[in-house]
Amino acid sequence: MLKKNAKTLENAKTLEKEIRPGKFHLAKLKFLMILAVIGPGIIAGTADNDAGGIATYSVVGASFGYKMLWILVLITFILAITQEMGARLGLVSGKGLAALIRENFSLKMTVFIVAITFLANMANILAEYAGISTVADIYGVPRYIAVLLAGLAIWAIVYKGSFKSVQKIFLTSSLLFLAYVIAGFLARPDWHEALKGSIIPTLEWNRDYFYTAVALIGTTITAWGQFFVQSYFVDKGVASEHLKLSRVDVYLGSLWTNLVAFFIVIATAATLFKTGIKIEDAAQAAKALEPLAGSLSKHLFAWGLINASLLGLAVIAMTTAYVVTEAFGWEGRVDLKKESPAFYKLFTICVFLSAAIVLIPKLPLIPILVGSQMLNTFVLPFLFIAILKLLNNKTIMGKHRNGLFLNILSWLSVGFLIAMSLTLVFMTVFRH
Amino acid sequence: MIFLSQLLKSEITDNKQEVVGKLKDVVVETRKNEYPQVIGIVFQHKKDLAFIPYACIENLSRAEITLKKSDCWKINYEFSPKEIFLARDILDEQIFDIKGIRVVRVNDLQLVKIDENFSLVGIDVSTKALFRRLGLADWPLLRSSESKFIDWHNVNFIKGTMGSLKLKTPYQKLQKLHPADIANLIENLTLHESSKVVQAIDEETAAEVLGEVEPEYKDPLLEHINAKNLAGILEEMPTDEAADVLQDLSEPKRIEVFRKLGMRKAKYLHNLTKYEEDKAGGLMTTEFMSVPEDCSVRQAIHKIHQKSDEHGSIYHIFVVNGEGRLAGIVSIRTLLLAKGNTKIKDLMSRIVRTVRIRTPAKEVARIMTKYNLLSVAVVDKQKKIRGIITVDDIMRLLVPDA
Repeated sequence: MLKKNAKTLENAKTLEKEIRPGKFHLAKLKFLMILAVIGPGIIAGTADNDAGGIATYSVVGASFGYKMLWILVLITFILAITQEMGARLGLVSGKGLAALIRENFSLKMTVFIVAITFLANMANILAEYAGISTVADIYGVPRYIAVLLAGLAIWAIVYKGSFKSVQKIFLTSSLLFLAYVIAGFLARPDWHEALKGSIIPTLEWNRDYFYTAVALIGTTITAWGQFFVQSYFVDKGVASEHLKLSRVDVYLGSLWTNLVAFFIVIATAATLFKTGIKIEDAAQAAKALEPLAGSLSKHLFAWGLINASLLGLAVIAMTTAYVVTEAFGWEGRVDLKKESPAFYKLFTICVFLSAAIVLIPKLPLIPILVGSQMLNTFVLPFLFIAILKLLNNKTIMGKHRNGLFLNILSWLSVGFLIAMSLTLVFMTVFRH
Repeated sequence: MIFLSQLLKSEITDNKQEVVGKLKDVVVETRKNEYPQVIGIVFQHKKDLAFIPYACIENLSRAEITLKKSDCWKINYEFSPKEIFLARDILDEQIFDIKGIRVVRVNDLQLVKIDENFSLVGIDVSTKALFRRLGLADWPLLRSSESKFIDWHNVNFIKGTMGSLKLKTPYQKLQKLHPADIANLIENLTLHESSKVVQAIDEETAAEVLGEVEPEYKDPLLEHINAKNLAGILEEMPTDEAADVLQDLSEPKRIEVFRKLGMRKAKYLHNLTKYEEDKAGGLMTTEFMSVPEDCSVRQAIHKIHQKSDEHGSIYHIFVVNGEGRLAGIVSIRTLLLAKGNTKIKDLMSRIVRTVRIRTPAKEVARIMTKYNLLSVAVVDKQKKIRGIITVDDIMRLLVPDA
């Protein structure tokens, strides 16, 4: 009897502890809650540094040295603002961006945005495969083997995994971008110059400079990045009371993304720019780094590119599936395979169709990539105007809608992006 | 029959052949158990919405929209919450198709003339409707596809509101479905939406629905339901299921839910959650019917009548001796066929298969299958019953992907 009483007492104590947690326990709970929210922002941010991004950063450093670093600082803020808008929209409405556009704007507008995003995404996935192929060339692996392996790996991870396991893999991949930070240090950059380039804006009045600057912004602020961050927050099921934590997540993501970009730029600035070596893509950068900064730098660049391409591939293919299914009412999610046939069909098509296309011999890859970037820049203004209208919609956003300050900040960013996209269109049309 | 998309943006002309404006929306009034009736149309007049009552409309068709008079429209018309704007509130939204048991997006609305008045009869969810709205309906390749209509009576809105109308029982039609079907439906929604649905339907149904939701979807869904509602739902669940749910929750959520539950219930469930899930202790429910040896059949049946609402399913009655130890079991069938004054101890079978709290779940399933047991008692060292496991608790182990 005594024993029984003791046991009941002990149970009551543990229950008491669970209901009224102590200080240490509270800290642990808080940490658990943070882990439950954090993720989408970091993943969406780092995925912006995909194969195209790495190539652009490498070219920026190799052609202009430290001079364009200040643009990266600017992009960090713009990315943070735009990604926060996506996160807030997703958390409060509980819906993806494509679904919201369908419900609040005309069907024609929806179809227009979805179609362009679809094309741009497909072309972008080609770029990821191309990134993998060029690394395969460095190591003498046949291209088709590398492409097929990459496609299968990504397909298996998303198709076979649960939301949690997929997210873990994505986050690990985000951390692996550390490779570029190391490569940056190995290149022994001139820190003084790097700091100066980051703080003091310099402009050069020539085509090359503008073209590269626009490409630099266009590779980081993307339509798919905007769709992805919102849908991924929704798919994860983060509730609107966690808005603050989600903001932290998004800001961390933007910071990490551009920090990685910063180190890529200074790595090539300290080596290739200094010796006057011109490059066109990231794999060339890796090869060119070997004699200047040692073979470790080459491997870091090469494997970093594979990692970036794979993450980009998975994220963009998933985004395409989210966008199309949301717009037409076949909503799907990572955790429910049986219930989301449309989502997985689209994902599978994106991964394997583009793998097949990229293996076509003598495929004119460069025009496709330029086209993809053009489409992306073209759709951005429409997308952001829609986002801003939604953020000001009282029935959707309630008390979380944009205030005056946020509106000014958002319109400044969006205005900047629109100006940039018009410049790009202008420069492409009047090429000569 | 006419489609909403064919009316939108059409010119409205009055009796003097002058254009009044372009149709912006069609307004209907909801009526209980009937199709919503068109009560008027709306067009944009400068910065305001102008309303034309149905009585003033001469002709409402695909070809033309004409009015009987020229001055019968009103600005600043006060709409009642019962009045719904078709394009604003329904078109392009997601709905539950109660008959087809699926979640679909509204691609168009079908209006039919019934006795002089137009009513909203069906909802078109086909791809054809999309093509029609994009002006591609006559393209040769797209012409063949068929329209798919859902009758208005089989539609339930996912939002839970219609326009400004807040419904008291927003998921009335949905709730009539089998809980397994409701579970299938809400799995198609975002967690934000599905948790709202679960919170809005009555707790008893919600408890059953949660029991049917796919395990991969259940965990995140539970996290998303607010603690107060979840506590209410847990009260409606059999204790073994409730304990499972609590075990699956994240620690912060579990604490919140414990706080909302009554202290007694919380203690009780807390004890259960400590049993490992893949052992008999985790499978069992602590609600079972037990009677003393010397009670009569009549008394036993009376007890069942009294306590039946506490128990999910009763297959056996467990008989305990004076020291509280398991003495035997009596099946409901035996009980029903016996005379009222027979003593239970003369009816019960004394050879009883039992399992222990730490018996692995697989082993429990094996024993129950081998001896064809509908329920088995979980006993401790002293042969005292700690709980029972019924056949529905182990079914999932036998056929995992059903």
